[in-house]
Amino acid sequence: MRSDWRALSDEELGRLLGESARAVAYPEMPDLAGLVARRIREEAAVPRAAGRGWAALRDLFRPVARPVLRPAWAKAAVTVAVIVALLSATLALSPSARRAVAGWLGLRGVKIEITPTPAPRPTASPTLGTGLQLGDRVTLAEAQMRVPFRILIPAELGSPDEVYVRTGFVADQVILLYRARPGLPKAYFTGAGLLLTEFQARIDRQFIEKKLIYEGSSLETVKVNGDPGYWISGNPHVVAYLDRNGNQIQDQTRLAGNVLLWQHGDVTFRIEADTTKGRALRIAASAR
Amino acid sequence: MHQDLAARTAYVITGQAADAQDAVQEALVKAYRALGRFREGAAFRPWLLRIVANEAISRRRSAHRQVNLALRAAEGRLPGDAVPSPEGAALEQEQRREVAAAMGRLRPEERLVIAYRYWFELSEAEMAQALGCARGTVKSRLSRALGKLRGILVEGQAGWGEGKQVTLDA
Repeated sequence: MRSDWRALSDEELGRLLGESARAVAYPEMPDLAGLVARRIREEAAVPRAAGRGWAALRDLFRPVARPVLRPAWAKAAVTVAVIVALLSATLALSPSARRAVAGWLGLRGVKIEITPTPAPRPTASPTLGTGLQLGDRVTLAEAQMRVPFRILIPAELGSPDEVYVRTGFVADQVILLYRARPGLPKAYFTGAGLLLTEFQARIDRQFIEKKLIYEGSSLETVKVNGDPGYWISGNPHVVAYLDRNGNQIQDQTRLAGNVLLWQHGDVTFRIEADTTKGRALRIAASAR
Repeated sequence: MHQDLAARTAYVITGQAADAQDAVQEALVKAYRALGRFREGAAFRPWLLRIVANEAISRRRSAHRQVNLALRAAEGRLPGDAVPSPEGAALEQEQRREVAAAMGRLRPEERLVIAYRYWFELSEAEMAQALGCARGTVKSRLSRALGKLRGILVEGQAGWGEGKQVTLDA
């Protein structure tokens, strides 16, 4: 005997549907986290447009220079490396959002520490940095209390318009945001004039110089008050931090443009701005 | 775990384990890439489901229309079962299987709206986001899909012919 389906109300049909949920034998699906994580890592490392594997890409690299490494550089437990790559706009993600989503997706294969996304400050009005997901908006004094090194401010620019602390990375980062002004045009992606990121980490020079060159970008070694650094211009690029286990944690520059990266003591500084090398170097040299 | 729900959603649409797996994998990669478009503070689950469903539906379209969702074998009647009569329980079970089988004859989009509501128990707000439509539209889409499902069940009772289109109103 069958029920008369025609006479079944939506509610009854709904109830039967609810119960029928158990009748479906969903296939076992393998945990895709590993596969997905690997694809993401590969895609982040190699621009999709290029459509080449790592091996093919490596062949494109030509070592720029083979500098003699100073022990301080070589022994770094935490190293910073920069990969220049064509970067699709969709890759310009905030690491905090990416971490959070890696957690949601169950991408345990991505070796990134998962931290809860900080709740937005209720009183904070919309700012450039919150839109860019730079981390917690703080005052300069608060930021200074949260990092073990002394935050340097470029005298050339004065006090930053906004200050952020981004946690959960290899090292907590302080990000100083300067709004666009004469000489610092509004960057296409961020709307900001300049971002200065400071964090306790070292630059892996060998890594950078071996793997950095990619079409559309150029790398130049520079000095900032005698400290070693790099001027990277051209296409946006991905920045990868290597932790002590050699896991790569990727970050990206937020501006379609130029980056000045340098290290002073055990602190790495990164300026991202749509500006000239000369101006960036002047700003960097004025940091104190 | 969102991945489980994503997997079920993809399977409900494709009816194929392999296609569902491909769809989920592609969707997770796309979700990760598309994070820039994900507003922080927005609900993540429906956002992800929308990507999964799009992936799964695009895989469905090239394949043929009807799906046969795998159904669990009827559980045996246990002595001392809490249900009043074993026969009644068997009938209920048969009805549930019939309903689940009829789902396979709906269009993927129709199946999806019903599955979101009754199988995965998404809220109306989540459904609206996952389906990319207004909340009011969720109701009408659900009601249309239920009407179609009922039509299929009624036809099934009469013994429907293969590939026959069902156009009953709710």
